[in-house]
Amino acid sequence: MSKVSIGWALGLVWVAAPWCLSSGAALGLLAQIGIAATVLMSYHLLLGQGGLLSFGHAVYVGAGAYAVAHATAWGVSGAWGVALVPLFGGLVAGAFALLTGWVSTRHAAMPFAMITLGVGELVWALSHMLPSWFGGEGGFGLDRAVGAGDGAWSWGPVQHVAALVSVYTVLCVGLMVAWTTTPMGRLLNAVRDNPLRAASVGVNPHRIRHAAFVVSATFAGVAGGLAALWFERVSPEVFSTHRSGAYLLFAFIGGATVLAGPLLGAVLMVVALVVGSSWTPAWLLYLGVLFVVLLLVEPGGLTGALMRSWRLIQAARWPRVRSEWQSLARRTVCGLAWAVVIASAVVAVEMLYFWQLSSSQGTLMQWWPDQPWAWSVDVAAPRSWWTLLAVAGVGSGLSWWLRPQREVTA
Amino acid sequence: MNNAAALVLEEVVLRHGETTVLDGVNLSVRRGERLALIGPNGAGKSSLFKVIAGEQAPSRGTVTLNGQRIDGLPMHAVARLGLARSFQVSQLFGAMSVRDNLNCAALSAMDERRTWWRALSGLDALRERVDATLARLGLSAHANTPARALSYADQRALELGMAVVGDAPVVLLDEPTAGMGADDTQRFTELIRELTEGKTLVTVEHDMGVVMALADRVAVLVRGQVVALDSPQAVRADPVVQAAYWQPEARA
Repeated sequence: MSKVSIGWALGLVWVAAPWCLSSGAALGLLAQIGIAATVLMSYHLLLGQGGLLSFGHAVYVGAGAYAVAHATAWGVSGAWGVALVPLFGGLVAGAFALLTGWVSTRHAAMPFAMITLGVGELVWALSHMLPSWFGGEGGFGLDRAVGAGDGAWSWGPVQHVAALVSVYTVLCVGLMVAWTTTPMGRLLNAVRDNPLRAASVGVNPHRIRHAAFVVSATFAGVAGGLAALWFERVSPEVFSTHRSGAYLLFAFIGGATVLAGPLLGAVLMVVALVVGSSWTPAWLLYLGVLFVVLLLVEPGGLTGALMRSWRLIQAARWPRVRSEWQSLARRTVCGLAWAVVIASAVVAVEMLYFWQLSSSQGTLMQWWPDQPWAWSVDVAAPRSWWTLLAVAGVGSGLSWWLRPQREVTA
Repeated sequence: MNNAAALVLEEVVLRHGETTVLDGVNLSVRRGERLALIGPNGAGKSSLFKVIAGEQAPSRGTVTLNGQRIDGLPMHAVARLGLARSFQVSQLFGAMSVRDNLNCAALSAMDERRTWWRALSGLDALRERVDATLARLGLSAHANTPARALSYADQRALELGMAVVGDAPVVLLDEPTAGMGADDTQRFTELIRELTEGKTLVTVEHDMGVVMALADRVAVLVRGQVVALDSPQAVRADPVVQAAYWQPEARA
């Protein structure tokens, strides 16, 4: 199956999904993943396709969100009004990017990154200084269903909005992917790889970067508008630097160099933000560690790692001779040893967190208390820590002893 | 006289602070002429290319391309007026395929630079032109290889291809045979001759064999000035040139 047909199939499934789901929580996940996918794909246009590292992408998502919030307050309503208002969000964000991008895209790399950071801080500060426009600390609410209650599409039910978000997601992601195959999209890659050569063949690097910046911001604005409709609330938080940071983080974790990266990144982002925080208080730490490890070992992010593993599996064959069996066994044990090391690290982190809170909940940490595989440990007992240390030591010793012997590659 | 001149430099001066790199260069290249630029290291050959191509603005003086002033214009504007250029150290789009390198080099010349509504793969005229160039460079088999994975000789061929695929009437080649063995150099000289047929060619070259085979005229640049401009044979015999150029370069 070609990549294009996989894309079409995925798009169809995504558009149909809201009609097959009934639980509010599932629809919520679906819509938020769709919005995140649109934002991260727009970020991918900058980072992956253009080599432009932005620290202020939230500005354009936020601009779209506020444009939509204000438009609905001004009286944009009706079935079609609400359906089309995210486009207005895109227009506003794109127009703003036309302005800021003219300055920031003059250079790539460091100056670009610094200017996007500056613009981000500026807009964030501004949003707190103009409470009449931005609604102050708490922002303001909007009502997407105003005046649209007559027809079949009232936008009141969650399913309606989820369907709208799905359609927009598929259209936006599809258009952005298509854009990367056009001459302009290819020239953006050229400017990323070698601006000097690009200029020498008649391409103005600044212009191409600027165009990509505006395109990216426009789609980010549409996504912001969708988010405003979905949550029915906007606040200055949408402009914050850590929103921008999250886009950068998950675009990279998903994979900055492949088109599927932002999609995987979007799923991870929503799962981490919505579900991760309910699993463990240490989820931000794990995320940070994952980010650093990927930066060091796999620039293609998780998608790159998956693709590499898939190629390894395809290239693998059933061992025939004794030495092949030995090598397979060795690698398996080494992998298990690594898993033990990682698991011990996780347990140590969880124990530390639990210990910190021991005044309110005691020192006996219990996992899966009602299950047959229930497990508990006393975080204040030295014996627990010694045991953990011993397990981690055996694991790391084994993984070091059995480490793969490979040639140094450039 | 200017009607027949493709490229004219008048009193071109380039200074970096206290250092004078180009010290009043006068040069006129006729349409369809092949001019070789020689001179010892540090004579200002590459700087002269940078000034002509718009990578650096001259401190003083004028550069005229087909009757149009180009000094002070940015590089992409000069390129759009019909001047193509290759670099001494290959400047490729490393992560992109050989085909896409040539695609990008040809897009501007084919006025498809701003095309954002249709796929690159749907541009038939572009594909035909790139296919033809690939075949002449001997790179057809590597069309889908990333440029940075090519061998050195193939990278040099692609570098040359990117300068000619846009069919610009004036071509600047900066040491196209740099770093090549004798066999490759000869083969490559033939290729340059073939690919720049009918164009105005200015090339910086150290290999005198290539200069003799390729050039109609030779300009000798020493300490930022043109000290001789004549046929290859005459320049070789010129005692001034020999004193200024051949002696320090005797090791070559």
